[in-house]
Amino acid sequence: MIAAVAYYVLITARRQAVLAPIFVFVAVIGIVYATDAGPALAAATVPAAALVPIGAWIMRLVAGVESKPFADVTLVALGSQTRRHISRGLAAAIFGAGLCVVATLWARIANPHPYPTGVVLTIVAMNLVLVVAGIGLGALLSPPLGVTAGAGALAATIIVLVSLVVRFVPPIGPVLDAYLAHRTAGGPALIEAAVVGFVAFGIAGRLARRAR
Amino acid sequence: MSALDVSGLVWWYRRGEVVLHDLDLRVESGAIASISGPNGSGKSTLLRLIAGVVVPHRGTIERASRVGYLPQSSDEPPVRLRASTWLDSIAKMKRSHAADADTYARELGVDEALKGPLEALSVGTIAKVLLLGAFTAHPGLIVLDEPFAPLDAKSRDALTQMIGRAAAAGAGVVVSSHDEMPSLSGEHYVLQKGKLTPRSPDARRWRVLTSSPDGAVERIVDAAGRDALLRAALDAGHEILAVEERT
Repeated sequence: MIAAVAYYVLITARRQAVLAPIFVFVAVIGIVYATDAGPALAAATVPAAALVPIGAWIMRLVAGVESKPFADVTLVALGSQTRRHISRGLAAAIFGAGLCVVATLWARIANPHPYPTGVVLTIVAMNLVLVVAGIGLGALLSPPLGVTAGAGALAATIIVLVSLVVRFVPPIGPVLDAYLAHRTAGGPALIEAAVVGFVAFGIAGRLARRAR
Repeated sequence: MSALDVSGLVWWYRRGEVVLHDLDLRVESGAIASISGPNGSGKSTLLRLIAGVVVPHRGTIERASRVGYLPQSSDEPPVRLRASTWLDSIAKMKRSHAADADTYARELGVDEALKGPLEALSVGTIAKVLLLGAFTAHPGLIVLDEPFAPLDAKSRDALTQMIGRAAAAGAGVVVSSHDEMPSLSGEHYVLQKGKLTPRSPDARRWRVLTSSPDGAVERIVDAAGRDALLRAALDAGHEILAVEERT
């Protein structure tokens, strides 16, 4: 499994396409922290929310990075769709974790508000949880499931918008409610978002096993 | 010991057309099964099922734990890796190593190509690298979908020997082709109307290459034709350059 994760990270990193979500995310945090972004946790919610569609985008890139013959050979070498699905998810998570680190460091350096250790850890957790949620949702929109790129982008946009507008719909809404509006506790919102990510990833894995 | 045991396999396309009907196939370790059939008969689907790329609608497939698979040749772009790095990655995924890849690469004439990136290689060379991926890491079952199609004559001979050696080392080998294959020992099947039927010896074809005053003459004939042709060639004082079985 480690070999497969390393393989997916390597072949994805060598595709220029992976630069697109990275640049978009860097642009988001650049804009957020261009001026005084406000208290640390509240400021961090916007880049964290952006990590949901970015995570979904990266998952789709990782899952589609191989052409069909190479994807089939990898699948046979790994011996099961489940192993390949988890390998792709972990590879996407490595890219996502990198973005979480960038977002946290950028905030720490650019935002003139205090960043005590507890707040930094909360920001890291928020970023990681939302990127995992994005990867899980992205898995439902990625090969081998037969969702076209356009349909996948549309579905991801709708999910993100609904979660932004309808505040009780995870994964984004409850996190914003907790850390931006301070209306609810943060822990349950993060757990809810993580559950959404893992459940979506699990469903995608089950569907992939039946993919023909 | 069985490298592959297919029982009651049923497969249909999304539009409902049944491609494989209650199909059974058993390949022992060290045995070779070659499958031929016309285009669209379901050979590639059968091999994808055997390799584990897709799951059957009905029936069971038991296979050796380590499988090497060559998909049908295509011109789709490869991954952006050095060929040797890709082979190493595939071997590691099989929980082995690609130490034997160099030997196979020399036989197929792609040892130099392994040092370069896959995307710089021709379709034919990529097909050979994929072939190496199927053979490396000592698989218990090797599944090859039309492996001879993109190869030149020299590489076809090398592949025939590689298949024979892999079988001798204990691997079960399943090979498909829609046309003539170089001589392979083992069981020969024809896939038609969703069923595998053993190919009768009478149906086998032979390639006979003889000399003549106008140059070498090649003919593909059945067993009776082969005998007649050889007799005629010898009677005429011509040289027999090659006689090989095609499946």
